[in-house]
Amino acid sequence: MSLEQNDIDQLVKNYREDFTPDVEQGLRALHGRLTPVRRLRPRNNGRLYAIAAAVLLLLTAGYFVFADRGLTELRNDTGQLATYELPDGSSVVLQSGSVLHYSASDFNTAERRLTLDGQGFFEVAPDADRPFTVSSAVGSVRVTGTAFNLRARSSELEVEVSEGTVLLQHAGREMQVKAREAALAVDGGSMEREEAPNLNHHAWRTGELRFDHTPFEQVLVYLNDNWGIVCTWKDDTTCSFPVTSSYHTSDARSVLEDIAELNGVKVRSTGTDGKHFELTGTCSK
Amino acid sequence: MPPTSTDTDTELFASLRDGAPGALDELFRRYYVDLCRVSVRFVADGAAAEDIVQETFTRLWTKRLSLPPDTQSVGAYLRRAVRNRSLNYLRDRKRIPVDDGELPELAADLEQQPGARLESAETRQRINHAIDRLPERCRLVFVMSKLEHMSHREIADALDISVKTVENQMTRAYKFLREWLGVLVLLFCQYICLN
Repeated sequence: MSLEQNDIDQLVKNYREDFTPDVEQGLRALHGRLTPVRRLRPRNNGRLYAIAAAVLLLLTAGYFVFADRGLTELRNDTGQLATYELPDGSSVVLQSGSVLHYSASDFNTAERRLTLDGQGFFEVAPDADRPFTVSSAVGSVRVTGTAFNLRARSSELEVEVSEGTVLLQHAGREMQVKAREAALAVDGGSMEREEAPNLNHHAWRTGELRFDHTPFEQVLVYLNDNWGIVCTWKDDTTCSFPVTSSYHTSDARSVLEDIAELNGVKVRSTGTDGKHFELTGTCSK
Repeated sequence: MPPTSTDTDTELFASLRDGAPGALDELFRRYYVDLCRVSVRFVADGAAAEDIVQETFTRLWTKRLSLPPDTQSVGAYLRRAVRNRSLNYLRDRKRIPVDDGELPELAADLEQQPGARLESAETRQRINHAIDRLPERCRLVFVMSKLEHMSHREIADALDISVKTVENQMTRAYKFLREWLGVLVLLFCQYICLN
């Protein structure tokens, strides 16, 4: 028995008719897209302006070889972002104040090992035979080819992955972290993973912050992790509210002031470094 | 007056031009599923299809002031927008086929056909599967012609091929589908007759 063309035409009308996406979920996603992006003017004073110049400089400054230990040191003291090429073809953007070390003689032989103190964004050249491992005092991150942001402080190590998958190693345990996920290892053994759809830990470099019903406490954490902004509440009276908006800026102070103003929170600068603030809230919206 | 669900598409479109967000939501609810199906037939990826349709509505909103006035056929307008966006998506990813490709072997596939009676959901799966097995150029031409009702000229322009190639691909698609879907026909008679 053979099909006529008409029969086929009838049958194929069913092609992909079983694909039924969730309309309300789609609508929420649409509303997320329509949230106006606030573009803040960078202020002309304050040290944050240095970061606001999102010009990536390819630097040879900050590059030292310590012959005695055979370690190459990449140190960014420029007050701006600095991009470095590594011998294996990978690249790293270092935040000012961050230092990266690797062995001048062994790097990229059997493996690719580095140590980081500070914050960097790594784009790793794929090479399945030579694992790429970045270590800190707390733990390490191991990959073969991917892109991720790594924040290494004395007591915590946080990775947020923009492409591929990485392996976070800490206190004898391992955790797989996929694209658009973040994981935090804290000295003492804890290791937690969460969704990171907006890659807000990359903001110090990309200038993109996106909040979607993000609790204000979490917004403050992002400002701290990216730019070292420290906020304290006056008289221990804290306010919590969801924040939904997008920013394209590197001026963290303006982001803080903008969100605070919209939600009736007062911001007062304390100290002279432009990074410490006291918040006063009535929490009436 | 706020848009309501009893407004016609054309009224909603006019409200949208006037900046009523409710009109955007109502149009979205009416067309989202259908438009996602249009897109997924092109891009073969559900998440990408949803993304494309959401982006189309985002543009609809941001460009609302320059929308054509008195649009009588809103559905067709949206469908065309999604189609073009889907083709651009394929083009950006270098997924517009550059050759005719090979048809898969039939024998191996046919052996997997169970003799048992097919449920209609399973039948749909088989139709999806059959069309998906067409070489990509053949599949796109067929979808554009039979499901999107585009003319051979339009298809040729969109895929940067000749009308003659479009015709050849249609012949090829029918030949393959006739054989592949042939085994379904007995089982399917009932289904067709009921629909």
